[in-house]
Amino acid sequence: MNPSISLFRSLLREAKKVDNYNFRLYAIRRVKLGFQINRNLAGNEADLALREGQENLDILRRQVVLGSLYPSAPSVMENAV
Amino acid sequence: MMQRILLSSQRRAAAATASASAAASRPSASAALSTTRSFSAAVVEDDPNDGRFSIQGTFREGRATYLDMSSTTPMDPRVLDKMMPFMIGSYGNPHSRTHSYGWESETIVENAREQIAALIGASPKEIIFTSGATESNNLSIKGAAHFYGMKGNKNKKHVITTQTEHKCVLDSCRFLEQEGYDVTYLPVMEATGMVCMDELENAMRDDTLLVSVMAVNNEIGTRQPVEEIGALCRKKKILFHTDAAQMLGKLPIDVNAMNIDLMSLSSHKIYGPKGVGALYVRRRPRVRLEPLFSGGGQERGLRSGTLAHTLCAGFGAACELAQKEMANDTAWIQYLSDKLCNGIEERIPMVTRNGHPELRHPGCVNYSFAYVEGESLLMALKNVAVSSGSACTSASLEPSYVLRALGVDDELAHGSLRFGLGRFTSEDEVDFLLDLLDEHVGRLREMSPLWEMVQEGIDLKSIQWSQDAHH
Repeated sequence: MNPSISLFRSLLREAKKVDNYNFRLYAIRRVKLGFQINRNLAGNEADLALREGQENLDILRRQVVLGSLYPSAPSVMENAV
Repeated sequence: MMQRILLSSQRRAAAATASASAAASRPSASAALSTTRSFSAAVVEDDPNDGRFSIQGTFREGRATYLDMSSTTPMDPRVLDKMMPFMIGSYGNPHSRTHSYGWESETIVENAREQIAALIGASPKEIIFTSGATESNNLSIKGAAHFYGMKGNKNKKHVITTQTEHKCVLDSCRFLEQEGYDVTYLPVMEATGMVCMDELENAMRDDTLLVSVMAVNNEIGTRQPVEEIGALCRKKKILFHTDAAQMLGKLPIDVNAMNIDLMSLSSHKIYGPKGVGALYVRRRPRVRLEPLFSGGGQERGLRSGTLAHTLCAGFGAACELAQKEMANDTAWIQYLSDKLCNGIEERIPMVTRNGHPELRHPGCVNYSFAYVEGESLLMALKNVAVSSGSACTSASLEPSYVLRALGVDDELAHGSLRFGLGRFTSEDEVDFLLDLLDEHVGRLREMSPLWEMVQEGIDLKSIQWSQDAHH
């Protein structure tokens, strides 16, 4: 599979697992924005962006774990009624 | 039939669940249910208040949504990630010269210094870590005054500042006044809060040693003409100090282009940890300060004390992140700010925006709602964490001195709210806030007899109140 697509899917999957409402929405939005901004990169620049994306994936994984160990109180936005 | 008026979003959710459950369970009764759903208010359950308004009934469960980014910001998870190793294994004192624990921590601090310097266009040697912008403000104002002033035998005893500065700057100036310095508190322009350059120039004397004007105001978001003030001060050979806590990482800063000599920076306003800040002290031409703390001479002798390298690392990481994300953040915050401002102005009549309409940080939105009492509006907005423009949430009932300096009436100042939007604010939160404001400002105004009179076209200023008739 295309490495950038698999990276995108992994990042999005992790982003949806973030515990805190504000961080979760930001992570999802930022991942999509990042891939949208960099969609036309090629060659060396694309490799650099992929590496940066991989680092961000590691950071996101660690923070998802931390957030689940110390969960935030549910936000008012998460309760529909 | 018991009915309860709900918010538009709650109505949608209630209608969705009601229709879903009705469709699933009772096909015979669904015909009867569907007729009631044609009313604009959704029927939810038996209402214990019999249709009367109860403020308790309108709150949702859960933690309030955070819309107060001007007071502090959450720590970005990427910043926390950078800080973690230093809180576990790398715990050496950065000032220990003799072993690798110290060298490691020192490297961490120096990296952070570079990251901060890069964001403001300075050299790392010009950054001093402090405990926050308050300490930086104290250090620069008192430090410069003591070095260049009467104690330091240079006989400069005049300081200029504005009326809308942060409390720590105003209080430091008051402290200097008690020591015998002269301080001019410049007024600001009505409604916008901008400093008038002519007034500033006229206030400058031969013995002026320092001008302190904050770059972006924390209550109204107005961005002062820092470049012009810097150029004027450089021409007159006066030190220029600016409190850039609200500007750092949000608007671009270049200390050389702006001719800034001293600049206070705060970490917890740019998604970094609380408890750390920095002071930029220019080296060419050299700015001298008398330190506040005596001790081991750390930070070029200006700020003794062991540095919290974890906090410094967090601050540095936050600055690096701010530099990378500035374009994205600015676009997002501008979008949310426009949505909020247009929403308020379209849906709610008689509101005033405080601060300059263009030259500002879009994330800091301050509105005065006429004929609404601020405290009751705050109580109604329990599901949203916002700050009021007045200090009525604290023990004193005085309206905010910043709003008063803008020429806002006391009663209007009491009916002011400050909204802070940031990187982590979601669009739904802004929609939620707009719905709540619409509902509660409307409700409070319905109850107000002054509002009724205004609606009838009576000019309140022309009323002869019976109390006044006795004079």
